[in-house]
Amino acid sequence: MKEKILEILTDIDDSVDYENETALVDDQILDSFALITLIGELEDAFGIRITTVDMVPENMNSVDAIAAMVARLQG
Amino acid sequence: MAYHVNLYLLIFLPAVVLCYSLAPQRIRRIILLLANAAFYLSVSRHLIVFILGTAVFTYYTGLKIEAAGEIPKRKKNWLLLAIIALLAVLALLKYTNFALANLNRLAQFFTGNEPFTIRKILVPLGISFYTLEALGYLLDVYWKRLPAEKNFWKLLLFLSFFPTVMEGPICRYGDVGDPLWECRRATAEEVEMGVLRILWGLFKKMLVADRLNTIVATVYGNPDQYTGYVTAGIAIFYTIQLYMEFSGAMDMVIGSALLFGVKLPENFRQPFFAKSASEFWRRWHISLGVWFKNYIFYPVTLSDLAKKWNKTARKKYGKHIAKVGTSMLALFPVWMCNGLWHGPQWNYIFYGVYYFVLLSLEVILEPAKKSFDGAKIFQKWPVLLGILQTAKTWVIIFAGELFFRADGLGQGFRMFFNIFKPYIQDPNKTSIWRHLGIARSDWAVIALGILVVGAADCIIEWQQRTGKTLRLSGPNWRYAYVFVLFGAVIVLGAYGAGYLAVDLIYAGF
Repeated sequence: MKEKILEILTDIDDSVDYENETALVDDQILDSFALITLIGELEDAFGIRITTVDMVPENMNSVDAIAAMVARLQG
Repeated sequence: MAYHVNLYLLIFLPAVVLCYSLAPQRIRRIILLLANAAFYLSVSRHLIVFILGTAVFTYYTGLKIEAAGEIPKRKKNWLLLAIIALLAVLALLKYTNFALANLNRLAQFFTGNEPFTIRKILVPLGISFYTLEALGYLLDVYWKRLPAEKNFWKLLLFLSFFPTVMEGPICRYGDVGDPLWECRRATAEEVEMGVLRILWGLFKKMLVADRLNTIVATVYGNPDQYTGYVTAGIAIFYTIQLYMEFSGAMDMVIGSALLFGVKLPENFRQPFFAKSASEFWRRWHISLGVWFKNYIFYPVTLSDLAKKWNKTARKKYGKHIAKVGTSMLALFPVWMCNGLWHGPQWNYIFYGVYYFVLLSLEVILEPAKKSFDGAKIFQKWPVLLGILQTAKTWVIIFAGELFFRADGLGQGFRMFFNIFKPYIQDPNKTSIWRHLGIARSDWAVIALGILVVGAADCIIEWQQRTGKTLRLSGPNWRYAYVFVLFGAVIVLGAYGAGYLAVDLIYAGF
């Protein structure tokens, strides 16, 4: 799952060290427009439904956080 | 009473801080609540019932939303009721006259008479700010990001906190509710920082903004007398005035809150370093942008309609078109609300549409921008690209603020087109800049103020980008800054008959 998320993120912006970044949203590395693409890709790739409740920085700040959110939504 | 007047700075604030600091913790809450009431009454008198009504209603509906628990329909109905009621009060008080005036115009066009009488409606202080805070709290409860508040006084303290009630920043209950209710005594460092921030805000407002206000008002008072570089210059000077005035007021607000041991979110982050219009809005009036992002942009983006479009468009037209469509769908309500939020005037609505178009263009042109930015010359000289991007953003900001300040959209457009007519200097006069109501010495103070604030912004930006710190902070430095700023405000502040009436701009929203 993590590899797929990394692939999606790299496709959005390949200049970021996603493996070590833990403040993707807090530090505005991913802006609102990038998040739109990310959500669409995550929903397609993992067959999940992301809602407004999930749209908090803690769920998007790192690859691990995104993976945890995806796992929870696949639940 | 406003944050920059003597009554607030020399009597009200010190008296409240003193009582607060000496009192035991439980009493401090009562002192703060009473101070909020006194501050509000001093400005809006009987209109205090509106903020009290909002607090009671928000408290009650918050509990109802939570109590509806897992019954989605009931939960949604309570939320809808709350949103409609809060927005209806805001709309009735703030936009009724605007709607009636426009209906009158239409009726005048078709029937020749105006059916509606327009009466002055008094608008409660800070209604645009506390209504957004109340809505944010209710939506957070609805999305289970927060438990509903069981203590009414705690919610009231948050909604009516006197340093923020007039101009924001628009805070989230989850961030500020607890620290405010804790009523901790401020540390010595917080007091020093608070005093420093208040003086820094006064420096920006009284040295620069109030002086620029004179020349800006002169030109906007007779817009057709000025053309070419004079009108363009005034757009720049107004932008600087607004920045000094609003960010200065925020310094005073954040400084005041620090005296009560409360750290408020920053509302500005060196906005003139932005390299695009969207980045500008992540650095300017941040709390308003964050509110719109959290409570309009994301919910629209994640709505069924947006998702359906996204899914279909990605297959049919590709990722880029899908993203453009979703972005525009979410940006449109954000920017219409942003324009309208500033007030019932067509130029504000235009200001919203202006940024909607520009931000949409940024998304549409993203692939072209990528290849432009990747040009060889910019690989070799990245600084050049930075300069070009910053210059483009500045032009966008200045043009937007030209309309923002205008008295109606018609004046905005007249002034905008006046820029392209050459200004012909009267041969009998010296430079036009000396005939706009301020003396040469005032220009020198404005230049000094801009230089100091500009240098401070550059240092802060450099520190944030590199993570390094200049050895210009620490207690001794703070004392020196307080001393210098206090002196500067006393000696160089704009005082006198012509300056007394300069109200805080955002307090009018």
